[in-house]
Amino acid sequence: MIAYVLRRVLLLLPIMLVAGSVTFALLHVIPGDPAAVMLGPEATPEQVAALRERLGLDEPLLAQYPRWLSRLARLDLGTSIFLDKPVTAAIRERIVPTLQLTLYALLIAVAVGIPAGVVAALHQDRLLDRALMLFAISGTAIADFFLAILLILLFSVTLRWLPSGGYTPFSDHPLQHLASMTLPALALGLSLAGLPARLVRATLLDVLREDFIRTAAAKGLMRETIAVQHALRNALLPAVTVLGYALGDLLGGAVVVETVFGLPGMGQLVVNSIARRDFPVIQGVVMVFAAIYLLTNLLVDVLYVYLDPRVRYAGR
Amino acid sequence: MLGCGDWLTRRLDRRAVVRHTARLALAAPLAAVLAACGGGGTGGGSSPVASPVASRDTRAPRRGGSVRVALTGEPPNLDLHQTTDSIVLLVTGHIYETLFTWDDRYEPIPLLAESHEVSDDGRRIQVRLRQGVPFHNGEEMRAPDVIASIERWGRIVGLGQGLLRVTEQLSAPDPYTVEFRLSEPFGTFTTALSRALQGCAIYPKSVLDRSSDTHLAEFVGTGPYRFVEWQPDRHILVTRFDDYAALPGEPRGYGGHKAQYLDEIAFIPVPDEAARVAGLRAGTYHYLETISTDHYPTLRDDPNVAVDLLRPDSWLNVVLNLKSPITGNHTIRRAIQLALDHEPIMQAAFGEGFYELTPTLLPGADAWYSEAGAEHFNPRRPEEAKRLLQEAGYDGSPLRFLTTQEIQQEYNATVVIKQQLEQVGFTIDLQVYDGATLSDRRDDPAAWEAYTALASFRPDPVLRNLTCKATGWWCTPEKDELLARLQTESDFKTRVEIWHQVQQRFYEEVPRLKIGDSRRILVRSPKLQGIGPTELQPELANAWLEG
Repeated sequence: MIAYVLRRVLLLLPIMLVAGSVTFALLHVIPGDPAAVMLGPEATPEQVAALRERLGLDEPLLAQYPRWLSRLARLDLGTSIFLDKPVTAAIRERIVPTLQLTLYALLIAVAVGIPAGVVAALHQDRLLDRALMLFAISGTAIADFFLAILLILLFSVTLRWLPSGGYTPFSDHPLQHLASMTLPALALGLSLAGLPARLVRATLLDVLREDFIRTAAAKGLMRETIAVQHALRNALLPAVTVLGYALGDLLGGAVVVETVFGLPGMGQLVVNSIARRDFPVIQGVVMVFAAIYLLTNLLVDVLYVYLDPRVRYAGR
Repeated sequence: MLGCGDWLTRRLDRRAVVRHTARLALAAPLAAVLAACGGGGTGGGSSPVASPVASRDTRAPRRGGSVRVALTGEPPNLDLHQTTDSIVLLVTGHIYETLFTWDDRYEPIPLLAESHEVSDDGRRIQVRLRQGVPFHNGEEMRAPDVIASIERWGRIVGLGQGLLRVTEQLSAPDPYTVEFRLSEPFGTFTTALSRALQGCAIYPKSVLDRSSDTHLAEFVGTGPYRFVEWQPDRHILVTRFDDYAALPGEPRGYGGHKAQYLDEIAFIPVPDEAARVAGLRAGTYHYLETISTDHYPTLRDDPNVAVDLLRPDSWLNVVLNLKSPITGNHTIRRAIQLALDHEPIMQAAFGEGFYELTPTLLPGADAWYSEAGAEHFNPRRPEEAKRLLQEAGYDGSPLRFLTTQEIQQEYNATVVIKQQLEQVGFTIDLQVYDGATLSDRRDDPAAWEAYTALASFRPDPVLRNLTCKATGWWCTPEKDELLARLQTESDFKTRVEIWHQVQQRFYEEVPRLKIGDSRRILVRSPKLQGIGPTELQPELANAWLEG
């Protein structure tokens, strides 16, 4: 098991290098440069050229790439052109709100999606089942940003219960922190909840037809007890896989949701950096997102063993 | 041209443009004052900048409170010398001050300067500085700070380069006097050193010693609010500077007394427009940087929102590339001028009632209003355009028209322009990019023939970049000579005369096409009162929050 994990971790390195190099090439192929953005819309081409030179942006790609590689080897992602600080420092500041948002959203997705799936399965083809599945599909179908605006209109503008934007760190004020994160997490979490709900419903229905369930029923156990204590663990396996892979969607969704709610996370950082062509930051964030995604996949694979003892790894 | 009633709606916000009937907006707040003002004027005189908000303020200002301003995004930096992006002026206008600023008629008045004296036929200018003006870091502002700031600004900014080019010597005869020895007169001296995008903010020399031309080490000024912190994508925080050296008397435009009622101002980036609007309605924000006029009908009826319809102060123009073989041809440019019908273009861009069609190149700056070249403004003669195209031997080569959907008004206008040009026989290659790519493309003379752009308010023509270096590359010796005279001449009447001639040439040589003037809306909480002029971004130094 440890050898397997180690091998997987080593394999991440070439993948990261390829991802980084492709991003590096793409970033320098697309037009637009930070000097023009920095100087604003009414700057003359001459001013832009002068600033570009002062920032060292006029260097050829072949000179920049080896330097980027050698820095990367030292885990140095360069310095942001706009934020005037190392990219690693910028990412360190921003990763916390994004991880919090992702975590809360995942919790909401699990807390809403899994019970909804179980209830729907137990009431198969009845009104409750249909209502829950309609809810699940709507959640998936509605765009994150649209749901976000609807939530703001209801909870901020009409009811005035929660702030419409802004971020309070947990350490500053835990309650305000939760208040500021509730709507973003709901927007992201509810749109994801449909996925585990539908999956848990489908797999639970399959598992409920298995022999050992019939045995449990023959023992006189209640239907709900059977479902939760015996069937659910088996039905969770695909849901865990999908939720693991859905992390990519969550990070993508975070980009949009952070923009709507003005959360200072990685999503905002990357969107703004793309708009102003802050190459080192875009590059750094892509690397970090890629690493998170790859590590989560690894984690999902490892979790499999825990959830399903039948799964064993080759080459043990 | 712009009358007495217009001052009521005079507000500026950079990217927003108004999109609803003026009638509706003007009706309530304007009725009383319109009656008092009577009819319109003739455009020669300038009009006061006092805001409708201020003019209605009858309750006593209240000291205290924190205002939250929702910005459209993150400023690229907080160095006023560095960028033409108006969001930087909105934030730093509270932190830094300039030697001169604008009064309520957009005439330069001293701010950090006490007075200035021109002698030796305009070749010697002495600026007396106010004494006892502290920077936020505790140092007193003196001549070496001013000289270091002007020198840095003069290395970075075009207008500053113009001033330093004619400056033979810049010295400090005593700690509170700065002396310019010039090789030739520079009549627009005070204009150049007034509040502006890329204005000459006065920074402490001690900070500049640690800074470079691309990097400002610290955000320290003499302004009414002191920089506290900038947490990117979260907020920029400024608080009242208790040692601020306020001028006595009353507020005068961007100058005069600054009462500093507010304890604190937080600038919060909220890129999503719907979220900005919802935030204001929910009471999270007090002032929104830019709001599309699409929101006007709903916001107008919301008791939690105050909306002011501003008078036109920016204009939509089509910039033509004079280095291109196609648009470098004057006959083809004339054909473009004759082909367009401006009304539908402005309607598509801004909506009925949210624009005006006037030939002036400085809307909002009434003293500079000019009808020179008006016969070439919006001529609508497509048949003649077709004839000119044939005469010019246009072979159907595509005219590369750049635009972006990031500024919807520009995009909408471009689509209509494309149709109109195709109707007279042009082939249009519409190229839609994101903002950063567009900026990049525009700098390459081989990459395009035309693009649409919104030009923002300028109180003086020397601040409007029509030089040979500006994109489009309008280079004719006669025009450049006129622009140079506009900069050196000090007599106002003569300068207005020169400007009329520049505008005449603009319409005859067709380096760009002026389509029309646009109006914007200013959206704020009804609790926020006393916002001053907004053409060069609002300054909240005399604003207060009602309890």
